[in-house]
Amino acid sequence: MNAQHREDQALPAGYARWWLLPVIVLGVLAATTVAVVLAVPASELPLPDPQRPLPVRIMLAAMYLIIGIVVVNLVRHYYFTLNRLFGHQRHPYLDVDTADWPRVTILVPAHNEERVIGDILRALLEVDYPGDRLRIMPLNDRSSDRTREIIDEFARSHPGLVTPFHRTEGLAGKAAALQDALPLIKDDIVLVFDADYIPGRGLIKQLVAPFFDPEVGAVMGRVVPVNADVNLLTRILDLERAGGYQVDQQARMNLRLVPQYGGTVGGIRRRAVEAIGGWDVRSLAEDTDITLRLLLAGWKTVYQNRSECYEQVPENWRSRMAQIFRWARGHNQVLRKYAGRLIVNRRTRPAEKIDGLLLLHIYLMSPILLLGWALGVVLWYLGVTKPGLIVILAVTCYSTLGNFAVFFEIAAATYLDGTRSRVRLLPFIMSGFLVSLMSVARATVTQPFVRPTRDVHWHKTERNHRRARWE
Amino acid sequence: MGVGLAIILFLALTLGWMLLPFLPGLREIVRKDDAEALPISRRSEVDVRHFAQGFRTYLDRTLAGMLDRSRREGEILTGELADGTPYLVVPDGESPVDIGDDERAYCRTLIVSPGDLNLPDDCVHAAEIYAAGDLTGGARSVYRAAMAEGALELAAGSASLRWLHAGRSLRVNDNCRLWGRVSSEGPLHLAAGCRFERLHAQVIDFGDPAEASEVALARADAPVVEAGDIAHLVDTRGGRWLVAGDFELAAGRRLEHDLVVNGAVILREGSSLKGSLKSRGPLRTERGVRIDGAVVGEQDVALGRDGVIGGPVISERTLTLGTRCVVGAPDVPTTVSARDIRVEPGSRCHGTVWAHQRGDVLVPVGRISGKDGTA
Repeated sequence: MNAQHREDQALPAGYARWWLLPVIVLGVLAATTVAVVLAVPASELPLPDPQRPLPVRIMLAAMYLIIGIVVVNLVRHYYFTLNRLFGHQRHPYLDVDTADWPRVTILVPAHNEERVIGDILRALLEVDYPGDRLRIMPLNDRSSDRTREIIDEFARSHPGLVTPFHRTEGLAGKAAALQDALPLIKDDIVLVFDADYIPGRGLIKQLVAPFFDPEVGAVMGRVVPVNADVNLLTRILDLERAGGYQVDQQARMNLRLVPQYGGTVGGIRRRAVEAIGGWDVRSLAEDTDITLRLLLAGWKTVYQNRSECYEQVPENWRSRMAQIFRWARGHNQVLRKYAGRLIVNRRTRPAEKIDGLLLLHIYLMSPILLLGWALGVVLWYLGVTKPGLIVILAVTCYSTLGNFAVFFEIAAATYLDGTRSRVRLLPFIMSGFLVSLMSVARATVTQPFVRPTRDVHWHKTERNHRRARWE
Repeated sequence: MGVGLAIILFLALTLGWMLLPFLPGLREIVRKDDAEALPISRRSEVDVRHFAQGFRTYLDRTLAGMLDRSRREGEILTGELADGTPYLVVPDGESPVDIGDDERAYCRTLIVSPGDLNLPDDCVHAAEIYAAGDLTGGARSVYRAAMAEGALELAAGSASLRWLHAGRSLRVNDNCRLWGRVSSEGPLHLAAGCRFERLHAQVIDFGDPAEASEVALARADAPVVEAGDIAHLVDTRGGRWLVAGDFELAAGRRLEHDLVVNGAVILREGSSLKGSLKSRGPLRTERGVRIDGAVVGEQDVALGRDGVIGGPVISERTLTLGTRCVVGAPDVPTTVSARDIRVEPGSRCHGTVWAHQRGDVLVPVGRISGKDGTA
C-alpha cells in the first residue's frame, strides 16, 4: 500500500462534517465528567479551603493544576485524532509537480558514517530533480573512519554536483556543523538528510514544493522506521512514529498549528534562517529550536505527510533511553528560552501560541505526572484527600498518556496506514511509556544542574544495514 | 475452599484478566504477520502520465505483435488476451470502427489500431482505446481511458473516466466531462462547458480566444511601493514583507518583494509584484495584474482578466482565472492547483492544472443554451 492509498483510508464522506469534531470532543468530555461525578461525591472532593494549613493548601492547588494540565493533553490528543479521521486534510503543496524548480542544496551531516554514507549519496544522485539546480553537500564533521574517503570519491566522480565540506575545528554537534556550512551555501532552499536515511526519487521535489509559498520557512516530511521488525522495541517505536507523524503532525498541519521541523527529511529557507540568526550552535535540539524561532519571526513550518523516507530507530532500550533523554533536554531548553516570547509575540495567532506551548511542554509531563502521583499519596496519608482525588488523577493520567488518548491516536494511525495487524501490539506501548516516563523525568529534573555547553556533541543512533521496502 | 486457595485463585484471575489484552500482541510478536516496514514508493507518484505509460508498457507486452500484423496485412483481428480481455485490432483508417449494436451500450473490448482510429457515436467503452496514429472519438461517448500517439479529439458531450493521453495534441469539444487525468505532449484545448480534474500539457487553452480589450497592463517601470507606504507591515526580514491585516496594492504600482498577508488582498488594475504572494484571506486581482512568482491563497483566489502569473498558483478553496489570464510560460511550465477551479474562456495555462473537486471551463453568457449552463 503506497502513500496515496494510505491517505485514501478515510472514513466515508458522509461522516466528514465539520461540526462532528466539537460534538465528539464535547461528548467525550461530558462522559468523563459524568463518570468522575458519579465516582466522587461532591462532599468528598477536597478543596484548598482556608481552614487547612498553608502547605496542604499549596499541595492541593498543585494537584488540581496537574489534573488540569493532564486533561488539556487528553483533549489535545483526542482532538488531533478526530481531526485526522474526520476533518479536512490539508496537502496544499502536494500537487505541485511542474514548476520552475529553484536551486537546492542538500546537506548530509555525517560523523563517522562509513557504513551508510555511500548509500545516501547514491540515492541522492538518482533523485528526480534537475541536475543543474541540485548541489549535494556531505557535511563531514571530524570523522575518524573512512567517511571522508568515501565522500571524496563521490566528489571526484561527480564534480560540481557533490561538493563536500570537511569540518575539522569548532564546536562539535550537528547544529554547529550546519551553522558553519550556512555561509558556503548560495541556494535559498536547503534540505537536510541524516546519513542513514534513503530518500526516494520523487522526494526532493515534494519537499521543495512548499517553498513556493513565501510564508514557509521550513518543511518536514514523514519518517518511517525501516527496521520495525527487529524486536519489540522497534515495533513499539514504529507505532509511536506512526501516531506522531500520521496523526499528530498532519493534524497540526490541518489545523494550521505548529508542525515541527525534525532536523532531517526536511528543509529550511536559507534567508529565513539567516534572518533569525542561523542555527543555535549550543542548542541540544536544533530542529525544535529552529521551528520555534521561525514561528516567532512569522515563518511557518509545513508538514508533508506523503513525503516519506526511511529511518533507523534504536534497537535496544539503552539507545532509546539515551535518545529520549536527549530530546527531553533539548525540548526543555527551547521551552525555557522561547515560551515567554511566544506568549507575547504578535506574529503568531493565539492557536499557534497554545499549540507551541503544548508542543514544548510535552517532556515536562513525565515529572509532572510523577509529582502528581506523589502528591496524591502524600495528601492521602495526611488524611486530606479521600480516594476521590487519586481516582481523578489516575483516570486522567491513564486516559492521557497511558491509554485512551495516545492509544486512540496510534490505533487511528495504523488504520490510516492500512496496517491492521500491528495494532495488536498496542498494550505494549505501556512499556515504552514507562521507560520514557523515567528517562524523561530524570533528564528534566537534572537539567538545571548541567552546563549547556558540555552537552553539545554528536548524538547518534547505532547503525545497522537494513533493506528498504520500496514499492 | 481454604483461604489460601481463594487468594491464589483471586491472584491468578486478576493476573489473567490483566494479561488478556496482551494475548493478541504476543501472537503478533511470535508470528510477525504485520512486522515489515511500511512500503514507500521510490517513484514520483504525481506524474500525470503514470497510467498512460503503464498502459503503453502493457500493450508492448501483450499486443505489439498483433499491431504489427494489422499494420502489415491491413486485417481486422479479434481475440482474447491471456487475462480474458477481448481485443479488436483495427487497421489504419477503418472509419468508423464497426461495433455491434449490443456492444455499443457497454463495449468491453480493448480497441487498438496501428494507425488512425475513428470511433462511432453514443458508445460506452469500458476497456481502453489505443491508436498509434490519430484518435477521433464519437459524439456523446464514454471512455474508460484512451491514448493516441498522434492527435486525440473528443467529440462534444463525451466523458472520460480515468485518463486520456495524446502524443501530439488533444482537443476536447463542448460539454465534455473529464474525470481523472488528461495529458498531452503537445497542446491541449478544452472547449466551453467542459468539466475537468487534472490536466497536463505544455500549453492548455480554455474555451475560444477572447477579444482583446483596452487594458492598462502592468509596467516594469511603475512606481515602486516602499515599506513606509504599507499599513500593518510587521516584518521585512528575509526578503519577505509580512502584513498583519488586509492589504491593497494601488493601481499601476509595483512591489518588489515576496508578500505575506494575514488578511484579504486586492491588487488593483495594472499593478505588479516581483516576488511571490501569500494570503490568508480572500485574494483578488483586477485587470492586467502581473505577479512574477507564486500565488498562494488559503481562501478563494480570483485572478482578473489579462493577468500574468509566473506560478505556481495554489488556492485551498475556489480559484477563478479571468479571461485571457496566462499562468506559466512555454519554457517555464508551472502548476495550478485548487479545490475548485473556474476558468473563463480565453485563459491559458502552461503545465499542470489540478482541480481536486471540480474544474469548469465557463460558458460565455451569449452561448448558454442548456438548463445546466452548458454551451
